[in-house]
Amino acid sequence: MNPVNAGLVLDGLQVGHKTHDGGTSGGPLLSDVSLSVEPGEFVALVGSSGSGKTLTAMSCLQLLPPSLGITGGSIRLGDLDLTRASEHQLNSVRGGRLGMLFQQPKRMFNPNRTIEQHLKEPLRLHAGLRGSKARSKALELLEEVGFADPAKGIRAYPHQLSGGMAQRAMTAVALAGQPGMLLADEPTSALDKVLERQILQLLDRERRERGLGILYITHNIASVAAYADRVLVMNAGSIVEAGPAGELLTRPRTDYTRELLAAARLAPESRRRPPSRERDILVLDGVGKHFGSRRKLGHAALQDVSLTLKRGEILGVLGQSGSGKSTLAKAIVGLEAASTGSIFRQLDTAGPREGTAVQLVFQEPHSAFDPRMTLRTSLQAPLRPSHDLSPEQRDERIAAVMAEVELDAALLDKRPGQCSGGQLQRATIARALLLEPQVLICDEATSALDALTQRTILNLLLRLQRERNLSLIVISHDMDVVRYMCDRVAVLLEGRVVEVAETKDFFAAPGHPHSQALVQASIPCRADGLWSVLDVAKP
Amino acid sequence: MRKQFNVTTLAAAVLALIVLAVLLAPWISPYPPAEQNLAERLAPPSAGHWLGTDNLGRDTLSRILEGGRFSMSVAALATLLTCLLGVGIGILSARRRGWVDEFLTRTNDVLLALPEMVVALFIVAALGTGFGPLLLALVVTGWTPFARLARTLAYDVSARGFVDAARVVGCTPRFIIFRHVLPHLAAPVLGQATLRFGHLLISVGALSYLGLGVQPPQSDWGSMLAAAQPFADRAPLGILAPGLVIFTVALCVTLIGQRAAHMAAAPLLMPQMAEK
Repeated sequence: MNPVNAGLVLDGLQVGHKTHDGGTSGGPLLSDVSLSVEPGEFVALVGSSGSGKTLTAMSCLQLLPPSLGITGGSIRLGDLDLTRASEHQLNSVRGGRLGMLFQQPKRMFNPNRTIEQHLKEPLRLHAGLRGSKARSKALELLEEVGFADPAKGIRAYPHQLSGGMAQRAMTAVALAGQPGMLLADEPTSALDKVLERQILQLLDRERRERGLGILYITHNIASVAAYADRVLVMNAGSIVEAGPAGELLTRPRTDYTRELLAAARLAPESRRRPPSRERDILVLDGVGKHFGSRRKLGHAALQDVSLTLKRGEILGVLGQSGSGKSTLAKAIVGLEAASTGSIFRQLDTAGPREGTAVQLVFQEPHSAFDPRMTLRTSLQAPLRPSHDLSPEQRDERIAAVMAEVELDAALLDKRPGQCSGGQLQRATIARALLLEPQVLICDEATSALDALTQRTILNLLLRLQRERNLSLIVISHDMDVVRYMCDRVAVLLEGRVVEVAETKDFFAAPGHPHSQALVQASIPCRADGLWSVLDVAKP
Repeated sequence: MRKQFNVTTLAAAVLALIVLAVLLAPWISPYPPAEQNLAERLAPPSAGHWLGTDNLGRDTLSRILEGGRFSMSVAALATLLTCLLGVGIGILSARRRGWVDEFLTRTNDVLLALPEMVVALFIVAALGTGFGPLLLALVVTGWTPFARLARTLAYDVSARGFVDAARVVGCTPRFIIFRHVLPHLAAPVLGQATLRFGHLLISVGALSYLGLGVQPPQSDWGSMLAAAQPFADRAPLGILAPGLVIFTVALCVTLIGQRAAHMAAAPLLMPQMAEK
């Protein structure tokens, strides 16, 4: 076998906490994980968050956090046992024979170095290229991963790239060392469908053309169905099920896998409501937002956005990364003043405070809470301005909303670092509900969560919407989420609304070319018909 | 972790001992600090003078005990005031932005461009010597690093998601500053403050040496250091003793400050790490 393209074999891998004296404490975090990836194979590793997927990948690279250690088993790349390899051997393996693609490309780049500098490092270390040779190879790589203008892209600093471009650049960096094996840890979960598809197609091409072996870690079942040869299902630190993709996805053997697959299938039939006859609660008229100084109008994030939201309606706002979705959310909620146009709120007079009747559920639940505060303190904060509440009444209100979002009251004394993403997202919703809002804006509220958690949060939002007759604005790049939740859909492109339509009509016959591209991209292409069997995101 | 705890305890004990000795100086000093005995100039350590005497035959130990009161109180007060002023200005800059930020930051730059000691000399020369003017001089020149640090950190915190979240649910700016911004500043500012304390201890001495701090025959550690310098070859203890005391106090304060900063950051650490 070609030594560069050697298979990756994990045999009985066990990972646990290390104590000071080199022993272990607590139960193992990974137990008896055995898997193999052959060259040219696309293997998917799925499971909900916290199941140990990333830990498995970091073990392969021997890059576990210092408090963790491998306590048993072996990891072999060809004939090299990585658990016993010297640091010197490992350095030639990392980024060389074994590449890694990270989840959040922007955090993995050094903000002070250009893409060129990032690319030249693996080229020098693993391909021995320097100077102009390295530069021309770097340009070649960027072109390969889909940079329209590699000469410009190579000079860019990470912050100048959009999320999708950064992930492409990261892919180029990972491929620069000519790896035989690639660990891809949720490389697309922060991207919209169009970009996701491009990145995965790129990896798939490398697999076909060069025999790249890929271990694809994800919680996105749809992409697994489209690309993976084999699937491994992980739960609580061990592999619970493994098999060829077609077989496993159509005939799952364990309950856990069935649950996982069910969650991925956000059946659009589950909700059909007649068009609302209620009055408009929110009217946006020609809203624009420009960044830059007052005298010189800078980059326009929003231009002439006119939308209406009826009472009790769920409006979806679709758009790619950088289309102005988050700016729109901030403008409606009042975090950023609109530069032009106006936003009318026609709220019920019953609301306690006009200023807080529109609430926001954040994209990243972990950053929406102060890491120093317990959840109780964070939840008490919104009630502070209304002085008419006694401490007992306040605690009662908090207990009531906690029950409403199905959270254990014991969680109130924990800090954000001790909670899972799903729990925190429920807490964010609870915090918003404390103020009895009439409009709730969910800005990518579930895109940082795994499929199972995502589904429960979406159902929670739907239940609250029903019970409280809330109006929701669901901002997302995820077509499935929008179709599952929304009555109407608005499409944002470069800060402009290009289409507004009823959800059913939109997915049946998208009007604008950009909408058509979005709808199309949500069905990944693979000729073997697996897609139709699974019937996950077919319109 | 256990080892660090012991070091901190030791530092706290040593500092407490020094502070106590300095406070009790009038009662425990072996000699009146200004009492001259020219027959015993530059004497080596002996049973009568544990740390020897200076060039006027004054007992070094007594002078260290007396001088500590001035040195430490000026340094401590100056640290506290510069810290409060600097953090206040830094947060104001970061919250107000615009021209307020511009003005305060440029003022900061100008002050940083001038040599600290020259500005302090100017102020003391204009207002006269003594405790008050000296403190003022140190505060006016000393707030800049705190303001820089606080401004940068406050900018950083203000951009975090939870500050947006707090604004959306209607929290007042006061709440955001006191409950979100200040706690995030605590650890780095404490670290900075302990470093500044040592630096100020030396500055007080330098100004006294130039005749702008304490007036003879009163003593303080810095001026003792300076006064003993010409006689270093004959009575090295005259320099070593106050030098070591300054060093010890600065080290103890830094160690305690580090521990305090660590504790201020503790809620951020993972629970299992905090327990260790």
